[in-house]
Amino acid sequence: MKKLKIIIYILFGALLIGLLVNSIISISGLLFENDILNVGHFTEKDVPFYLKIIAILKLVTLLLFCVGIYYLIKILKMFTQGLYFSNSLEELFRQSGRYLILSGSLGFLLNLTPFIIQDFKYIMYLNFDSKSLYIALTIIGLFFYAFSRIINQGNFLKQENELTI
Amino acid sequence: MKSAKTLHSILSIIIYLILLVIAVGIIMLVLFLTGILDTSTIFNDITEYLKDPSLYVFMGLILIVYGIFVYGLCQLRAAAKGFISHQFYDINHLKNLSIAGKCFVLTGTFAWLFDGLSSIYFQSKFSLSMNDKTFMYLFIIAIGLFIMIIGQALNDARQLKEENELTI
Repeated sequence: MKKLKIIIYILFGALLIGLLVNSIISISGLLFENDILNVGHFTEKDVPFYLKIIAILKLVTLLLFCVGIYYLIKILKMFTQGLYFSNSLEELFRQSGRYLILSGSLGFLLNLTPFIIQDFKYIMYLNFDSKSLYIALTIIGLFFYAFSRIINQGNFLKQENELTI
Repeated sequence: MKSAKTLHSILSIIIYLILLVIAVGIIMLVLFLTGILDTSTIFNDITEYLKDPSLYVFMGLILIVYGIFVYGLCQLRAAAKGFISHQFYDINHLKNLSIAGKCFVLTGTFAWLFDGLSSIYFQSKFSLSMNDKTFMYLFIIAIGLFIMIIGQALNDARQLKEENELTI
């Protein structure tokens, strides 16, 4: 269990760092018009206002994802302490699921915007290639949300067990 | 259990979509190889590799990885079905969770590896996988491990439940 926990920490850490670097590139490009990737899009005119809003919403998506992962790490901590069933664990699963669903669905909708607006010029800065990641996020969020109910039942069983003993 | 029902439906849709994409890919490959379809009209980069056996080796390997992924999704769907029918501590559903976790870890690791190797071999001219996002692979591995831990926790709960029923 401990080994698995460490591997999960490393993977989530790498994921968060990667997403953070991606967001820094997006924000510096779209909000501050700093062409880090040298695609030469910032010489003619300013970045459209709606793209700036999309960049901010992408940052919100990342924040929601970070909160979801924070709850997952808390769950892992409880698991390693052997606290499989408690009210707080149920709440952590529900919160984690909720934030991951929000992050996944918002991210997926944002990924669809270039196809709706038909503007692919800044696509490199918006990382619109990660639709599958957001679908996976929503699925896993739903799974955790459903799982919180099972933790609730497990908690009830445990209490019953302790009372019987 | 509305969330479990939604999860079950989404998983079903994704499983059928992946199978459909794989089937369309295989049909297109057969059409290219038989000369019915002209590759240059759709993919310019792939034409020069059509006679290279490595292309088919990588395709086969990636197909196996997708097969493992679909199998993992099917296992997760079976677990979701258990949640809907309130069979939370059924040993079969716990096994489903454990297998799904292992499948996701395998998928994330090998898809990343084969994707990287194929990109190096074909000098990044084209990618054979659906999406080469590193984040996706990292996320799948992490969640696979997490689902394995959940399976373990549920197994402990099942033992508690059995103990409880025996005491009564």
